[in-house]
Amino acid sequence: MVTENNSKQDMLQTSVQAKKYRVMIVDDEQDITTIFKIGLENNEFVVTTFNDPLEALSKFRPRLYDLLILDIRMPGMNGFQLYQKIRDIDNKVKVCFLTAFDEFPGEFKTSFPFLEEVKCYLKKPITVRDLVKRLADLANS
Amino acid sequence: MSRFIYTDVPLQLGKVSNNRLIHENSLGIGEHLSKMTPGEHNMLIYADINSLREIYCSHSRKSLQSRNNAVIILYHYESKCSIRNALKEFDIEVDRYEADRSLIIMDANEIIFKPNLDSFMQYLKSLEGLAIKYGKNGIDVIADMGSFRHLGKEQELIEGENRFNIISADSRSSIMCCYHVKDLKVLDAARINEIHKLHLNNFIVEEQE
Repeated sequence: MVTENNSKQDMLQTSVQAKKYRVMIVDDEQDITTIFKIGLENNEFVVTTFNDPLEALSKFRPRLYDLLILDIRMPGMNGFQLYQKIRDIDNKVKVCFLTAFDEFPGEFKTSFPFLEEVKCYLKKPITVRDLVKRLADLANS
Repeated sequence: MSRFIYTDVPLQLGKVSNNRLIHENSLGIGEHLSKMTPGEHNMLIYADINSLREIYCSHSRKSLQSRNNAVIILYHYESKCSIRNALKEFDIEVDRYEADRSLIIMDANEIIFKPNLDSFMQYLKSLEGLAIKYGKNGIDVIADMGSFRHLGKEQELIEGENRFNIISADSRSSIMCCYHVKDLKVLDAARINEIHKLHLNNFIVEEQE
């Protein structure tokens, strides 16, 4: 069992390390962005964090990131609204939405049709190990 | 040392009398709320979750323990678990109050518009009736209004506030509408002004340094 786990972990590490993925994390909770940044950087991701979605948007540039982690409920602009605007700048960047709540993205699909294509939702709290795995899966999808 | 957190918001507050705009730290606002009378409909503008937490905890404790009211907390940015923990840290017997329905903590997104604003208003009225039936003096509602913007219901915000005004005026309930300052900033000045005018007091939390 240990061997199998180690093997999976090795595969995971290999898949992540083959390329240093650039990740932008936006969450209004500073604790979350700090913990995620440390955890992902320890796993060879290159991480930029923001606690204000409007600031994140103002500093976003095409092809600057491979992956996004966006909190859904944020003051001023929610994660769906932020991703909608980011897609106008870079429609290749992949996204994972993050939430501590029982969100039902189906309710937002009329306003945000792109949600039909989004498969990655992370529920807080999440372990760094799970986070790394989900991001590696997303990057390789 | 404290500073106003609201000074950079493009507001035109000329039509709101100064005595209805109250800049205080969370302790000072707690003092104001402790003198609140039934039927009040107030607004709280906060910039960080810690300030909001301090205020809803002290307000809830006074409501439950001193005013013999039931409390309904409708959250948006915090989870139920973190609210329960915060209340417990304020020596509020969360389990007991929840068990006897004196304390109800719900996701605002799950109740305010499901199925619609009308049903929510009826729900509040029925809760008030139940609270009084079980010996309470009334209910104190603390609602984070972030869910309106989150659900794309900004157009219904004024209507919702108007309805809160009506429902609270004719009842033994108080309603405190909590707005994150960033959720207000995205509204136009006329609408912000209108929201201010729909509340008896507008508490603006000064950020502590």
